[in-house]
Order: sequence, then structure tokens, then C-alpha cells
Amino acid sequence: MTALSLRAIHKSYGPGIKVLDGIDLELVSGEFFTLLGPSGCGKTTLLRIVAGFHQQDSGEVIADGVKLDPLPAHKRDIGMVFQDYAIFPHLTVAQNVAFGLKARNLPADEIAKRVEESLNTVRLADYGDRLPSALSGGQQQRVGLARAMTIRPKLLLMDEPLSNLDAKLRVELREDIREIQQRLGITTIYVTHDQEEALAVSDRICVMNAGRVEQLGTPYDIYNHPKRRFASAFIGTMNFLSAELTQDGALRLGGKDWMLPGKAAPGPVELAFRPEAVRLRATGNAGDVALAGKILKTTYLGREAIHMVETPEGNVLAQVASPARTELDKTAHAAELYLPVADIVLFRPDGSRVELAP
Amino acid sequence: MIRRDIWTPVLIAAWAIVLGLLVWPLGKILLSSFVVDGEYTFANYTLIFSEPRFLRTIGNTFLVGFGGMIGALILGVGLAFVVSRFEIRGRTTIEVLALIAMVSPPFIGAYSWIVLFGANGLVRTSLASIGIDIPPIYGTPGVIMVFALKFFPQVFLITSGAFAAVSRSLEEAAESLGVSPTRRLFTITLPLIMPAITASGLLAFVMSIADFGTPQIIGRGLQVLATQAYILYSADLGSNQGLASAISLILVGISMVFVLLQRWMMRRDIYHNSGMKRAERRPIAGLKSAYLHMAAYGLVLIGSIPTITVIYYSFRRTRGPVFQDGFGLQSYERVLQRLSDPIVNTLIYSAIAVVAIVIVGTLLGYLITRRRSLATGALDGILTVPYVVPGVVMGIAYAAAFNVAPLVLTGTGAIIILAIFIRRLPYTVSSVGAALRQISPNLEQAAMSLGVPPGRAFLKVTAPLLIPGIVAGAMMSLVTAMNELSSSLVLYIGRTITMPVRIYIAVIDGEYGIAAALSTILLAMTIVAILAMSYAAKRQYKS
Repeated sequence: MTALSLRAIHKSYGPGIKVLDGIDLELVSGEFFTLLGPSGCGKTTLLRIVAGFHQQDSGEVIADGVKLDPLPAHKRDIGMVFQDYAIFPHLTVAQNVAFGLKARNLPADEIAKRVEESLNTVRLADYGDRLPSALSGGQQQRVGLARAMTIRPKLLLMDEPLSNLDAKLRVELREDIREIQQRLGITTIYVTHDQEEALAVSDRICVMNAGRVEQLGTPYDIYNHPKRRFASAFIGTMNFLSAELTQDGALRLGGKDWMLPGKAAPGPVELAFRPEAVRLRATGNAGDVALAGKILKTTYLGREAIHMVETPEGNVLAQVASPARTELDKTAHAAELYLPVADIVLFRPDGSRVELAP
Repeated sequence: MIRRDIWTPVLIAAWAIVLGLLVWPLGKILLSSFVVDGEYTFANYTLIFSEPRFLRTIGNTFLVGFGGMIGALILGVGLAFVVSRFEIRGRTTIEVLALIAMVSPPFIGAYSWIVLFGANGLVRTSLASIGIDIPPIYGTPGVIMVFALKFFPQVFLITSGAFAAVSRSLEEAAESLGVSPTRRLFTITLPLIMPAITASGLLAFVMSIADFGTPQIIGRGLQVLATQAYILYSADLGSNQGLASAISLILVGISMVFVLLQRWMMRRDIYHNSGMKRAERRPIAGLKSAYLHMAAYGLVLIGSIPTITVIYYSFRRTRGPVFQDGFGLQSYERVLQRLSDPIVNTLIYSAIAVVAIVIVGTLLGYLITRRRSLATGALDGILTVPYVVPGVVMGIAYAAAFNVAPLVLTGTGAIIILAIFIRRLPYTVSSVGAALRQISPNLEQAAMSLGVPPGRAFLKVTAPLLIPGIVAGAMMSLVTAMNELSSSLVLYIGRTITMPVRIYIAVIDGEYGIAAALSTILLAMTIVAILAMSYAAKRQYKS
């Protein structure tokens, strides 16, 4: 069931400054939907349009079949969690959580019950009487979450809720957010510029750039089947090498031709592959794209090691999982790289992906 | 698509207030400055710029303005440097003394200096008795000295904030690169706080040229634009409204140029960043310590001499207007028997003005900061006008605008209140604006997303957070309202006389005992307001 539809949303700040350039999205009821993109891509503007804090220039926002556009923010019944927490500093934790319930004129015992319930959910049951200034950033954001979900909104919006927290807390709280969201089944739009966070929590991710949707899909699809160069570069690490598609459908790299599993129109392309797809071996499988080079430096990360390899076609990052001790002493050694053709993605100069026809 | 809410009628009311109380009266004198004998002409302006006496007046205005500015800068920046960079004992005492010097009305200061250094001044006569002759304080040097001592606390407060805001890392970086402390002061620290220094200097200039009481009391024949406008306006015979208006507008023009310069300097102040290391105060010892302590305390004590003198003389025994040996409460008795009207009037007028300022100022401050649009931006622009209109000019404008039907207000308390209201409103608007910028707009949006309409979101979330700031601003307005001299002097009639006006008259008439007692009462009221202000300021929420 569709929980929210965005139809042809346009927004610009003054002439020539386009922030959103025709956004169409459909959210399924109960899903965790993430808007991911670099700062300035329009994701926060889009979120605030849904919340009712910004007004779009044109286009429609429809929730549960009702047009939201004519409604002011306070009548939309949409919960919001803010990057700077926006916890009311003059109210106690419990008063903060009760704020939206009081606005709905619920009976006092019902309010007390729901406040307690929500504080339990975010594991702050003992903090009801404290003032926000006595809470850590992570705790304040839990209050923000409790406050937004306790009104049982039809939609929950989160605007970079974790980006003011330190790395460890970020991971912890994102697990909590995901778990609570699934338990309550609230349709959620989550805005972030952190691709790892997006992959970790989302049902679906919408990659945005320059006011447009670059790609929409599950975290698995977004990572493994990028549709455009931007999405492939923005999520995870990607190697790019200049290459060419020849008239007879081969991939020409470094003066050699490699057979591809399908055919496509000839022209210059960029060859893209992840560091973990690179095989550093003495020999590759038949058909693998092969490159020879020299290891410039090695970065050891514990779980893996990353070699930077200088090849005639450009520098390539290659990842070695669970590296052995000897792996770390290979700097300045020669290396043979093999890329399985199935792990290669090709992009046209306009950023679109090359689709191979059988 | 613009959604209407509670703030639309507020905006309309704000414009009505600004047009009625600011644009209309000032427009009226602008018009009358171009009228001679019922005809439109530039004659008033050509007269001013051709007659030597008026040219001298303009020259004097710049002279006391720059003199006051330079004096205040030397004293203020020096004190700020010493207090913010060295371990000076009793910093709070210094700050409080500076604050007292700042809020005590300048005409009280002027009068005290006369008591001490006037023709028959106490210090002067006792020095003469041991053979040291110093000239009486009257005239240009006296005015400049009073301005320097009066306005240096402003410079001190602004620049010590700037000194404190220079990140220690920058100074440490310079030091690690091998730069000596003295060189570092001139190559790093002073350039960084230059915008604050120039801005506070320009402020001292604008306040100096707007001041009316000091040149009037101590100037003895020194005419500046502010006094000239008053004299032309209030002359019993041959009051010349057109010429007074033209003089007023020239004064407004000069101070506008300097206020704009000041704002421009402040905008260039780009070095403030949060989350940096605060500058460190260096411990000092021995002779250097004695030196610096003496300089710092000496300065603020000289600055508060007027205050101390006034309090002292208010308790001297008097017979009639003449001081006698010993102490007594005769001055207070006379004030309470004959002069309770000014006290009551001052309290009532300032209370009403401040309540109005708080309500209107808070709403306007919110509107201008949070609801940016062409209409609120223009409002913000127009509200800078009172900053550049000296009290005398505002008084003349109000007298001119509100003495014809249907709005005959001349001779009422209302006109005095309205003049105070419009003169001090911008201060509250901008302090509310500054407080609002400390409060995340997300708070109110959070309230709205929880289902609270905008008007209630403001009342339940933003207003409670603003209250400490509003109270502090209100007390500041109360202080300035109680001490307002120049506009009230133009607008009062016997019935509506206020304390500052009565003090001014007492000084002019030589009734120093009454002047001292009234001034002390006014000072006591002022200090109570300041204490309330600092108490409120301490209770800010941290968000």
C-alpha cells in the first residue's frame, strides 16, 4: 500500500537556483526509506517540504490518499527528528515527550501511559524528570525519537539524526532506530549523507544529486548494481579507468581487447570496479581483464588491507581480505591484477550505464 | 504560495506603528526644513552653510565627536587589553564600575565635574589655595573629557568581548613561529579585533554628537548641532522651526553616515568562531602588576567620580541652594516635599514605555528574524532610524507632528512616553533578534510537527526561552527610559516634568542640592534595574 506519493516536486530559491528538479517517489507503507546524497543535493529540502516547513513551487505531496499541500505543518500529523535534536531546553524529558500529546488534548492518564511507554522504548525510563541539559547528545536524540513517535504519526521524518554524534554512538543508535521502526511499523523517511548508515538501516535508498533522483533501490542493488556513475562513486569505493568500446563489441583497455558477455554501441567509456573485486594473483581465470602494475603503498585496516597499485591505465585500489603478515611488505613490488568481467560496470561519458545486449 | 497565520496581522500592526510614530513625525520636520514663510525653498540649508556661526556649530560637533571618540578609544581599548590579557584582581568590580559609569546619565556627570572643577569647584579652589591654578573645566576640553570618561565603558565592553574572542591557538601559532608578545599584539591580536575597535569608536562618536546635556551644562557658549537645534526651537522670541528642523536633519545626516560606517565595520568582523580556545590571562607580578592595577582601577574610579560626587553632595547640609558644612537630609526633604511629581512621572512614563517596548519589541524581533520577507526586511531597515535620530531631534519632530488635530498630544504624558517608546524600541528588537539566533528554529518546527499551531508554538517554546533575554533587554530599556533627558526636555510642560528634566533645570538654576538628591534617587533606581537585569541574564537556558 502506498503511504506517500511525491509527484513532480519542483523547488528553486530564486531564478536559476534549482534545488529540486522534478522529484517523483512512492513510499510503501511501513518501509524505511532513505534519501542519500551529498550536501546541497536537495534531500533536506525535500524532507522539509513533506513536513510542511517549506513550500514547493509545484508538484503534489499525497499521504494516504490525502493531499497534504494545503495543510500547515501542525495539521499534517508527521513526526520529525532533527539533526540538532531540537529538544525543548526548558522542559523536562517527560514534558518534551508529552508535548505533542497535550496538543492533541488527550486525557492525562493516557498521556502519562504513552510517555512512559515511549521512554521505555528508547531506554530512558529513568530520565523523565531530568532537564535536557543533563543529557548526552545520544540521549537527547533518543528523547527526540520518543517525542516524535509517541504521537503515532502516519509518517516519521528524520533529518540526519545521527550526524552530531560520535562514531560509536552513531552505530549504536542507528541499530536502535531501525529496530524501533520495524517494531512500530512507522513509514519513515531518513535523510543522510553517510552511505554506510544508509546501507545499514534502509529498506530502500533513493540516491539524490543536484535536485534529481539518481537511483532508487534496495541497499543491495544500490551497491552492486549502480545505474549511474554518480551513485557508483558516491556509495562505497570505486575504481575508474578510461577505456573504449570497439566496433565489434570488445572492451579496449591499454591497447588490448577483452571480450564482454554482451554487445553495446561503440565509444569511450569508463570502466568501474570495486576494490574487493580485484584479484591479486599470479594467474587469473580465463577471460578476466588483466592489468600489471607496481604497489605504491599499502594501508592496513585490520580486517583488510588496501593496496594502491600503479598501472599504465591509472592507479587502482585493490583490497585483500584478512591479510597475512607478508601482505604488508609488498610496497614497491610488482603486482598482477585480474578483474572478472562480471564484476565490471561501464559508464558512458554522460554518466549513464552501458547496458549490454546479448 | 504564502500561508497566512497569526503573524500577518502582527506585521500590519508593526507597519502602522512605524509609519505613525517614526515616518510621520520625521517626515514632518523634513518637510518643514524646506519651508520658509509658507514657501518651499532651500533657504534654511543655504543659510546654515553660509553663516559662520552655524558653520562653527558644525565644526564644533565634529570636534567634540572626534574628541570624545579618541578619548573613549584610548581609555576603553587600553582597559580592555589590560583586563582581558593580565591577571587583574577584582575584574568583576572593574566591570561593575564601568557599567555604573556607563548608565549614569551624562548630564549628571557634567554637573559633577562642575562641582569639582567649575569656576568655584571644590578641587579647583582647594588647589588654588595651595597655589596651583588650573583653568575651569568649561568649554570644549571639558566637554571632550566628559565624553571620553562617559563613553569609554562602551568601548571597553565591546572590545573586551573581541579580545576574549581571539582564539588562543592563533596567538600560540604566532608565538611558536617565533614572534615576540609585543609584536604579536600588533601583528595578530589588534588586526583581528580592529573591526570591534573601529565600530565601538564610531559608536562613541555618534553618542557624543547626539548628547545634549553635556555641552549645554558644561560647554558655556560652545554650540553644537544638538544644542543649536534646541535653542532655535525653544527660543521664547522668534522660535524658528524651519531652521531648527534643518539643523536637526544635518545632525541626523552626520550620525547616519557614522552609524552606517559602524554597521559596515561590524559586518567585516568575520573572525568570531565558536568552539575555539579562549585567550589566556597572564599572571603578572611586582612593579608591573602594581602599575597595571593602578591604571585599571584608577580609570574606572575616575569614571565613577561623578557618581560618587553626586551621592556625596546629596547628603550635604544645605540652606536654600547653598551648601553648608556637615551632613544632612535637607535636599531629600525638599525633593520629597516639593518635587515628588517628577519621580512619580518618571516611574509611570518609563514603566508604560517599557511594557509597550517589551511586547512590541518581542513580536517585531521575532517577525524580523524568523519571518524574513520584503516587508519585514524593510521594517528592519526603518527601525535603524531611531539609532541615528538624537533625542532633541525626536522631541522637536514629535512636537511638530502631534500638535494638530486629530492627534493633539502636545502637553500630555503620552507624547513623552511615545517618544521614549520609539527611541528605545529598536534596541529591544535587535536584542530579541540576537537571542532568537541562539535558539534553533527547529525547536518551533518540532512543536509544529507535534501538532501545535504556529502562534502557540511561539508562546510555548520560543517565548519561555526568550524570557531571560527579554527581561534583560527590558531592564536596559527601563534604565535608558528613566534617564531620558533630551526628548522629554522638548516635550514636557510643568505637569509632565520628569526627573532628568528637573535635574537639568536644577543644575541650570544652580540648585545643586536638589540636583544631587534627585540624581541619587535616579541612580538608585537605575542600579536596582541593572541588578535585576544581571540576575535575569544569569538565568539563561542552555540549549
